[in-house]
Amino acid sequence: MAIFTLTDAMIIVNGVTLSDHANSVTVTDTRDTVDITAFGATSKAITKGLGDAKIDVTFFQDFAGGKTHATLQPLIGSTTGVTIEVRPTSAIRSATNPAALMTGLLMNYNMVDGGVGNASTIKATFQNNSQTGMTYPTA
Amino acid sequence: MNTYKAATPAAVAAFADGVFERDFTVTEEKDWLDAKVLELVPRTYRVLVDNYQVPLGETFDAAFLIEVEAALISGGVIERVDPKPAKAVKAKSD
Repeated sequence: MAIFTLTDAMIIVNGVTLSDHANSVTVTDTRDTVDITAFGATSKAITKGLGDAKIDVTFFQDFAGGKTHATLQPLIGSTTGVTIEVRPTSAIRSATNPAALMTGLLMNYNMVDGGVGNASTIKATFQNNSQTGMTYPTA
Repeated sequence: MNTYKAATPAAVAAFADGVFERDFTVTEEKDWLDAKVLELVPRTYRVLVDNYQVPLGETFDAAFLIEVEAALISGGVIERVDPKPAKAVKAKSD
């Protein structure tokens, strides 16, 4: 796959495909910066600390069964992580269409958010809650 | 209510031998499963929507944690397919 325009991203939350109800997605995989500068150093020395990951998605609200509200609302009160998968395109996982896969908790849910005449959207943040963090399976 | 199987002799003594149903809290379930004392036993579910990982109308077996199952059922995504109750047998009258 060459450089491409993001037009067909796949977003699966707890096994439910919500791609057709989303218009923005950000996958973030980070490591803490740990300062290990000792006396005598002339520049800062750093290393990597604990990992963290999150997936931010902007969804369009829909109250039908199996859609946005029905899928997300139960998760805001849940303390059990669910699988979140994002792929660059809706094609099957492959070396050129790797998934970003994470077990995460939904940390915010703004059921209604918008002004008059706007589409009702939700900015959902899923925060990693598993020791495996973010993985990138290709199969 | 979820379905479990004891994974150690101590668990058999504490719960039951073989498959059993129990109404654990989320924390209790997590503790027992993390300690590998109990195992989740898959149940059968039917898919009610067209955007789940299994096609609409099909049944599948899965072992869901309490809250994961609750999220999918309350969201109208799946429903449990419980085994049919045994047929009633007419009592013989002498």
